[in-house]
Amino acid sequence: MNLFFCFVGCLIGTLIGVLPGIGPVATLALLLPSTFRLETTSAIIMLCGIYYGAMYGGSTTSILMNIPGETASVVTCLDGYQMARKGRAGPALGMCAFGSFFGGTLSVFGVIFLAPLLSSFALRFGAPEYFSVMVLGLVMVTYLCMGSMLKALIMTVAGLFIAVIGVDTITGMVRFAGGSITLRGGIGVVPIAIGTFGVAEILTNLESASQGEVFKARIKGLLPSLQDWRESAAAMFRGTLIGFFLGILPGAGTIIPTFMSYAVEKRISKHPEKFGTGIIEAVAAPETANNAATGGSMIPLLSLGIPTSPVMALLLGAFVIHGIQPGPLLTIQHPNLFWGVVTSMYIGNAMLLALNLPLIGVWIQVLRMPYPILVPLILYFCIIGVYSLNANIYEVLIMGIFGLVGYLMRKFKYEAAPFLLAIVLGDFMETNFRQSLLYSEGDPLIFFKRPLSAIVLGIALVLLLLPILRRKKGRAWVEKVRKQMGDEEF
Amino acid sequence: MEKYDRISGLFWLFFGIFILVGAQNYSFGTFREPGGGLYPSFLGSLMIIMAIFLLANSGKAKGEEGPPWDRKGGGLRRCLVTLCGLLIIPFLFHLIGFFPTMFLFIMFMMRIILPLPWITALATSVIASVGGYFLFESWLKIQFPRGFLGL
Repeated sequence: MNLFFCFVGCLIGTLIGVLPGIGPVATLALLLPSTFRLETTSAIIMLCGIYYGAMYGGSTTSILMNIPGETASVVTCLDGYQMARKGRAGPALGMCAFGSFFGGTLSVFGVIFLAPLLSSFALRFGAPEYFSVMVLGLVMVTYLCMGSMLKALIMTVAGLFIAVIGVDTITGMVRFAGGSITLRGGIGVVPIAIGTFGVAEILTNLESASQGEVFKARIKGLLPSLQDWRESAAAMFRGTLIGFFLGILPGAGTIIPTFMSYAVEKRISKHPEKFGTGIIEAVAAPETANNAATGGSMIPLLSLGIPTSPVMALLLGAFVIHGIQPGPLLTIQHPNLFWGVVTSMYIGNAMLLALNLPLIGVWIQVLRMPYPILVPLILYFCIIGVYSLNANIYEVLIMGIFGLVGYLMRKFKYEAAPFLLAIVLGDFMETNFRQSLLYSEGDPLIFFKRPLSAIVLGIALVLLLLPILRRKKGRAWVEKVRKQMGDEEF
Repeated sequence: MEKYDRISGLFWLFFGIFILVGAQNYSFGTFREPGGGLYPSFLGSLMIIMAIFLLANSGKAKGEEGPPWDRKGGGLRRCLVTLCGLLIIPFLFHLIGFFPTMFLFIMFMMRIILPLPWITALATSVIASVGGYFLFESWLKIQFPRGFLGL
């Protein structure tokens, strides 16, 4: 049965990855309610399948339409589409599939060895350590955001406040609910995720009304040549390492590993001027990295119970909804679940390799479906997904409101990732914060007196101050040059 | 972008004040026994400080292009109308039923917002609402609200 749900997850994930306009976060949020009736292991396996399926599928639109199917496939557009224009769409698609399999498979081995190690280390954590690690996680997410760090921090605090709404788990008092029965239970992560990611994406696409042209030439020869393999092998290996280790870091997600992998390959290449013209290693490396990152990102979730990206935040939500708290005790209390998920990651990768190559023709037909038909259907499924959670019409309203919020966030250049992560972690953070104060009998320095907590908070503080220090260093350098050159010349 | 940073800075400033004032309704407690108001007070204060920084730094966004709003091409209109639809339909679920409401919403989207031919809009709406009924209500046993027609 788990194999069946793994297959369903991979298929849906690939389909979602192929379709531009809806990404893995919105899909996971949408399908999360449908997993309530499933057994926990099956539910998590299916949701994981959707996640890495989307990573596989995203490259198809990038190569054939020059539109990324999901954000991590942006880099694949650079050389993938150029390869298609040269009549090499087949090898590009084939290498993406093989690279994804390679990266995904090796990252599974990384999870097998590192996750239990990290779990046994994390058994020494108490409330102060957990609070500090979550602070570090949120700070890293804001640090790694593309835009303004101040705006990302504001979104983090806004998310932490949203998590406060509802019943206080320690005292039982209702906070900021304004008398609303719906808000008494808190604002769920699913309506917010679907609103800020799914609905906001649809509204943005409706405004721009952009739709790409599918590459029309016949696709022949999906298997890369021996020359292609020779040129890509080392790139795939480097992509795996970069993707896996960056995937572990909060905030890196899958976008940063793909960009980093592309940048590294270009840097060390003997012919960097060829990047952007359609070369195979420029497609293989980022695609390998983004699938390796999916494995890496599972480690903090399974071992510490800390999500490193919005997708992991939703997976954490899925665990919690099924009554399981991921963390150091997961391998001890629920070994079947842990090893079932890890095994499904490998099997899912194998299924995806088998799905992607023969079904390329099917995905191309899917791409030809007019976007104006897809939009209302996507919204329809969003509404059903949100309503089916708690049979509460006000949650559909919340989804709509956060759709507006997400749309405005994009306009005003605020990022949604720190916001969503803060909402998911907010309750745990507050609980651990207050428990730490209770245990220390009111000593707020407890977070700095415990060595591990002090180190983690120290790293968080450095990351917060780095942008300011860099700016000051930059200004000092400019002043030095100004003095050397003389003010008039400058 | 400067103007937009100032608008958002003011919004966050008032939001932070709202959180801080609202937190006074709950017991602050002491550090030994932290109450429900301690953490939100801390968040509200942080928000106010960051909003002030944002307002102070908004001048640095001078020259940076503001967000594109497609007023002339009708893009903004499509967005606003879709949003209004999404905010109104929850109140229609108990009135006319979930699936009839969704039928009307899909028709509305396909005819008014993304003008498609009548036949396409009708066929898609019927297939989606009937298919959704069989998939979600009959098979997955999710109970959806019924309206005065019992649908």
